[in-house]
Amino acid sequence: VIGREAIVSGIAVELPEVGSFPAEYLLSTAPRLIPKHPLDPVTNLGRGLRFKDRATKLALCAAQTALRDANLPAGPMDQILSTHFGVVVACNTGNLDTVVNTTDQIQQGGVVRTSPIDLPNASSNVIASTLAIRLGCRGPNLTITSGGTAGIDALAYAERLIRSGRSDLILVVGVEVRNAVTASLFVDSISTWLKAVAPLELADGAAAVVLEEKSILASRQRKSYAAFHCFSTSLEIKRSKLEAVFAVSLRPWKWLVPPLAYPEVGTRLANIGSSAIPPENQQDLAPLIGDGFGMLGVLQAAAAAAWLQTAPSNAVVAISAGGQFGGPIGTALMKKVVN
Amino acid sequence: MTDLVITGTAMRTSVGRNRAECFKAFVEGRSGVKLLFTFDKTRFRVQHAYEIDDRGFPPNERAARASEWLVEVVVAALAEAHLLHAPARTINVLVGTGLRELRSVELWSKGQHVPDLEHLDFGARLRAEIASVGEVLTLSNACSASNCALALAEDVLRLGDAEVLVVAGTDSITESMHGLADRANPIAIPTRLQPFDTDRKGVVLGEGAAAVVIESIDSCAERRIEPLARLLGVGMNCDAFHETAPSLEGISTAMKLAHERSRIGPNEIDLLMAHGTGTLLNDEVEIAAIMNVFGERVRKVPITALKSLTGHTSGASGLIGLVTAVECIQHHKITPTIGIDHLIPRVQDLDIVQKTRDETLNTAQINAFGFGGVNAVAIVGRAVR
Repeated sequence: VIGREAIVSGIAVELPEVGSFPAEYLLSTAPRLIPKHPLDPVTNLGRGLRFKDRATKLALCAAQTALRDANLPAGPMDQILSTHFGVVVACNTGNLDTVVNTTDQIQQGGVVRTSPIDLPNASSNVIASTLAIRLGCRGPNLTITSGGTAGIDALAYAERLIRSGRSDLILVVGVEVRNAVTASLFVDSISTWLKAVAPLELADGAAAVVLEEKSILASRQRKSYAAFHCFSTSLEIKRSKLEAVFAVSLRPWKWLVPPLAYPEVGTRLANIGSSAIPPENQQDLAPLIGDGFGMLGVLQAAAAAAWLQTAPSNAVVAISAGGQFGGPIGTALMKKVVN
Repeated sequence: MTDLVITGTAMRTSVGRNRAECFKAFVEGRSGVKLLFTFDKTRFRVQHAYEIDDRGFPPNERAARASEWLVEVVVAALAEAHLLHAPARTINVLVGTGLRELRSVELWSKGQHVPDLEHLDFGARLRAEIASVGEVLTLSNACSASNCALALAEDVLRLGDAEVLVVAGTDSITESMHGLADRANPIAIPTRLQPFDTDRKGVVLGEGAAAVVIESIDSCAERRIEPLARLLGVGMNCDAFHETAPSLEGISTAMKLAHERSRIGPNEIDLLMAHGTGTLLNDEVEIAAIMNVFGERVRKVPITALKSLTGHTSGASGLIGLVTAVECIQHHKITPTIGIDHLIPRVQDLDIVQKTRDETLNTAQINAFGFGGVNAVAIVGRAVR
């Protein structure tokens, strides 16, 4: 267990409404100029997914791209690797349409109206388990649904699964879907909280990062994007720890922030040191993608990892997500891997 | 490696409002099955469930019941561990759940509840009601969720990332899951959950919540608290095989992982709390896996299935089993599997406990397997004085 470290070895972003592009474009100066992709990525998926929901398909697209980026097979792996290959998914909205539509069908015509095919799709862990079945991941398989911090929580627990030795390789996927049910529940919930029109819509998309144990990645001689320095999955609680970090050598060069359109978010970030980071180095992805919600932390990790690849060796990036309903903000510090 | 101890436990099910009431009902073999309280019975074939009777009479539907029970059990477990009044925001909670507050989403879709994405997970409610609660993880790992949360807690504590944690599980019944389980039922309509019976007809859902306080043995000693039991280890894996059908290889591996992590063999397991969902396939595969892993020992280890009393409490079921196992160890009793009219032939040589039995127990294994092949097996042991 001693000396084990999780390294980001593959990344992917699937934001069909924004365009088709590599993760590094997210932190480029002109993300608005990204060319629109004519096709929804899920249309490129192979057979056998006819009855899967959109969240599962988006997650699978991101997962396959990230695995290819890490030069790992985007299909069933051999037995030995697969027992140490885990999946951690962050998603709040994936199965809500199935749940609501099934309830409608029951109300209209009783259970005979429902489809048994929806049974797995009604379960909140269908994305993670489908990824495991398609990719042969027999390690820990987690679905984290902690609201806006889910993506940061997923990274934190994935990193720990590698550190503890339960896994050597983890696919971390963040995904949220916007459809009639989730769009309305999201906007109405935010409006009820703010007693005003919701400033953002729910995002629709997925992001993935592959985390790999350092020595195993070294034995494969593959690229290392980034490592994690520390996590705080609730900003205020670990405030002192982060303050110390932000004040000295690990002051982030860039800070990917939670949606600043929500009240208090800017103030709360300033309280732990965002004022030390020039505004041009703070980036809120919400104007581009909407509220990434549980997906945001993983999307930020992919974007930060891409940016770090070409940054100087002492570069540090902070990623923060959450803050909806005045709730917690999760933060992770990512750094270059020094060999 | 740091030894881990359990210093507070609590549970609530259809047969009891607290741990003592639940355990008394289990020992007496009382089932919580009733006709559906609030769902429109004309819409379903399955008319029964193991619901918690907390909606008055006539029953008045309301949202966020799983959150209410969760707060109750976390408060009770923290109180027993003398941590309820710990400094503000210092105790992190890991909540395993199958169905989150999806019932509130269903009620919203019918116009019977406000839009409330904030309380779909359990963080906001726990932090609002318990000052000492800090970070909250909501883990939606189907029917093994609370045992999976226990595995994550084991890692946090063993790595020294925290000294004390609460692991909890909670689940209320949703119309969509009750309906889809009903729809997917291949055979006759079940009126109760009958693990290991040849005529078992499938899952009947239940409601419940459980919580445990877990800490390093050093933290426990420093606080001068008597531990209730030890957490020896939790094995966790995924079948990567099928969404709803279990895999013999996958669940055998999960049990072996639990034994390895706990550094004990099947010969040292004194009680096996089976997942025992009472579906045709699940019971067969679980028994085959137990035979596979336990070898010669399989005829001697007492096996019991709590779901015959509580129904299938989804993501909460693993931890309800664990809290019960700790009670069994402390009270030298094994709770029964009720409702078996005709034992499955292949388990006739096994020790399926059908009547409450007095027995000294040093260890217990708690199985939990979920949709998508997510497996988590926990092992607890008697506290060392």
